[in-house]
Amino acid sequence: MKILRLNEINRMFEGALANLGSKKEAVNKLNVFPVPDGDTGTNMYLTLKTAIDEVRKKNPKTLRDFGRAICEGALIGGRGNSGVILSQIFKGFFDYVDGKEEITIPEFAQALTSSSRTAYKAVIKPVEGTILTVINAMAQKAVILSRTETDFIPFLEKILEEARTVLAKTPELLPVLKEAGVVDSGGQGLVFITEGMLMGLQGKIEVEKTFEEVIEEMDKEVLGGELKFKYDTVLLSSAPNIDAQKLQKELEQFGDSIVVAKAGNLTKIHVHSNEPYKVMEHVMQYGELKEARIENMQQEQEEFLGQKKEEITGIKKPFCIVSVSQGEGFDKIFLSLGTDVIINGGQTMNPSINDFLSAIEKCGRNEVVILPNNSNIILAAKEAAKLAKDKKVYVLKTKNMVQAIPIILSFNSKETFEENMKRAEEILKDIHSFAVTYSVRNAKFNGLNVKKGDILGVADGNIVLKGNDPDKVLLELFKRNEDLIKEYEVIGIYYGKEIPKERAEKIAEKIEEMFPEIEVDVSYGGQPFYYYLISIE
Amino acid sequence: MGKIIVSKNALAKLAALSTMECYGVVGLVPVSFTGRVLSLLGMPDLTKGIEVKIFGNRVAFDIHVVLESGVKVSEVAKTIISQVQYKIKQLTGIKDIDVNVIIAGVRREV
Repeated sequence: MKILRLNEINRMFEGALANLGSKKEAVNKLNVFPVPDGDTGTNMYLTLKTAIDEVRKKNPKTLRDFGRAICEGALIGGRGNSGVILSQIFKGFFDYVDGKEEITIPEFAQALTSSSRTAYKAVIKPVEGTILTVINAMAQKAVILSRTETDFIPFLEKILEEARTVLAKTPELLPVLKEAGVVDSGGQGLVFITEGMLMGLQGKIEVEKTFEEVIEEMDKEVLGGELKFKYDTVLLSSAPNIDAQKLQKELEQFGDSIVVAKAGNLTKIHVHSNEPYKVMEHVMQYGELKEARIENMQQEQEEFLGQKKEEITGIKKPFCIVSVSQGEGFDKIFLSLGTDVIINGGQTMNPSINDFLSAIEKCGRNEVVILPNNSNIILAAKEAAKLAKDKKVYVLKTKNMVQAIPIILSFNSKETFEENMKRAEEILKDIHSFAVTYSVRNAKFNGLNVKKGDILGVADGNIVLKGNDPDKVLLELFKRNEDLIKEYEVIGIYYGKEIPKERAEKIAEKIEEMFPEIEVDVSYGGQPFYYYLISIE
Repeated sequence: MGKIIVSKNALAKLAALSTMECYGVVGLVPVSFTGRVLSLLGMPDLTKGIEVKIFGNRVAFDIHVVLESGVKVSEVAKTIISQVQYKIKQLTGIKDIDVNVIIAGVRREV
């Protein structure tokens, strides 16, 4: 790992929180000063927790916003001496990286130096043998290491080692520690944070589950067995004075699988019950509802348990490819490209989580990538990925089959799974797809009055035009997007089962005339519902 | 046995030293006019940021501080209070100690 981005930094902070959370009591025990910082471990943990809660609440999309959320949260939540110092450490770090979305090793070292400087700046007489000494040593070591290290994992491992070494020396610097025979508690807290960050980065730590994850797991469990309660109720209350524990108890009269969680000013409530209206009525005593969602779990369960799958075993690769396919032409294409397991499904026929699970099970490798090839299927694939505990499953959010093809072609067996997935995500961002299909009902889209049976032109998932003839609609799609298409190199045309080969080839010729610079490939997809599926890469 | 007398000046110095060790404190602000003049002349007397009042066995400190910007003021103030109480008690044996922290300023970021 050579660069840290938002995702990695976020994992590091979650890791830090989890690690410190589990070890805060050990830090508390190190306290020798009866004052001023009573419970260093708890104080540091709560400071970090508030900072991360702020991140979870704001859900930042850039590293800059992430940094701001952390700094703001740590400032507001700063508890005790150690919490205030920790907030300064974060402030120094994110002040330095402000505006960068990618952090290299030398930049990380400089950011740590900025942390140390900011932390020292806020005190006239720094006491050595404390957390300050530890952050300073870490920063200095980081600068030296940054000249030679090229990968973040060993880089952080060595910084952590240095932090531990210096921590062990704190009793020599601060007599009061020596008398008590302990190391500095704030310094120990910082070591646990660093340790957690490294574990988070390596994916070795179980991050605290969100409300959504908790209830998803509960629902999964319930769906597998007999349904005692029929309705899945999720409420979002903006009432200010809800006591989560008390409300949880009170709701037990209505059903089970009760979760009550505070999120900022809101309270999230999850209950399985047969009388969702009573649950709502009860919660509304406390104040207004912001949102309410009620689902019939019986229907969910039928979907969960139903549907069959097909399997075909495949070619040797460091990881397995599972792809959803619809149409015999696409099946063949996917198999010839090296897909290990094909799940039949797609429009109007969504595979279930179980279909994915058994496909994953059939894979002979520990790493599996799923190409759902339909936006309605992504969720099921992701659920399956979560449930498949013994294998590493990655879901690439392909929205149609034509997106999957260049991605499979890009896979390189000499590279690691992660590297492959990373590149696939990049490719995915840069594929455009068009489709020509027909309307199954009267409707209005983007100002178009569509009648049942109308031919529709779809560009990147949006219905943009209608017509009577699939070929004309297709050509019109190309005309309208001429400028966009010119930026690309290959046009792939996959014709559906209702289109004869000659007709597809004819239209491909016309497209070639329109874009003489671009390669046009025609293949038989055999897909239902779509006359043409087009990829532009 | 005799008596131990701790002067106001000594108490002020002890409090000043304890305060300066507190994280987030970047300065003490002279309260008196002479103190201000002295500090303008480059001869700051740190104890001038501390006012000491003695009522029998009870001591009260008013501590005028400047904090670093971007630190949580309430937490730093709490630290100063407990730190000064702890140090004075440990060093002089005085048990009844009141500490009032006056945030006289916040250092601007450079």
